[in-house]
Amino acid sequence: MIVQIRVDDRLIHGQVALLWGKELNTKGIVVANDHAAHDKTQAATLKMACPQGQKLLIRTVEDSIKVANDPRGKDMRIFMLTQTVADAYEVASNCKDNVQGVNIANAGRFDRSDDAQKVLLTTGVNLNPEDLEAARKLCELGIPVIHQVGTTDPRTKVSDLLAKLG
Amino acid sequence: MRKFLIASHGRVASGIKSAVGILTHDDSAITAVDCYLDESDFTPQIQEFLDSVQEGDEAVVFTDLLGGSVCNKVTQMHPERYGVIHVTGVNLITVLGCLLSDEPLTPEVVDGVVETGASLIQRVAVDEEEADDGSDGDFFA
Repeated sequence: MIVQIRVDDRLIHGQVALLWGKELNTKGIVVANDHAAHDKTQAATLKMACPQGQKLLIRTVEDSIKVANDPRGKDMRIFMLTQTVADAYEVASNCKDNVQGVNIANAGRFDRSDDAQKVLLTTGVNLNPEDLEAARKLCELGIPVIHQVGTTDPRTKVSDLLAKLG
Repeated sequence: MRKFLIASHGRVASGIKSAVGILTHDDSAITAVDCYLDESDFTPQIQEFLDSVQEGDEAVVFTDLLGGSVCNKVTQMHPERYGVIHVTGVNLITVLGCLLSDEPLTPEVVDGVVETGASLIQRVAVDEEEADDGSDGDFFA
């Protein structure tokens, strides 16, 4: 069961490693990212950043969908990370029953897409047009979609943030 | 209540406190004492911390260098008499390890945190061949 898909443009990093695994009580982390799945250096770096005691899978977005739907994972608390909102929507829309929620924590700060086209949903969440569209569609899937950077930070509904954009 | 004091030459203490704040969004458990930035005596701040420790608190004082004057001063103030544990060679990982420990901070538990922290201080030599994290089967096992 994917307890949370977290969208974080830095994938695994200190705060994720230390706090979220404990907070969500997960046994394993799945990094759903096409680039990382094919890049040995990035994979090795992610493995280094993965907290001890958590299992790690680095898979393409397509293979991550298979992992999310794998019956062997039904009772396993899994934390999934994607780099973009678009990737999170791709996974969530293909395994809705196996995902308990999506957290759009940080996005778009390093994607080198055209800044002029980006929309600042909230601090640290910069959505390019593809991600903005994906965010809207995520909110229609019927699972909770929130924005919560750290475990002690307030939790905001993404639908509320999108509504403010007008 | 868990409370920490970090005392160091210069700004190591407040630096680590700021890093903890960024990582966990809550550095309120930490008192930072940056020593020797001016002529003032830093020991009253440490004494105030020691005096503030109450029954049931888990308190740790971190100093920067074994055998350095800050470490020596703290040792001579006998933190153990206040139920306070003293760790030297302070680093971010060990402070975080103590802050986030699931177990109560006894001397034995702190030894474990210190050991884990020390093992995470390493020359980075990423082994790309070993990066293959195994099959899906291993993950679900």
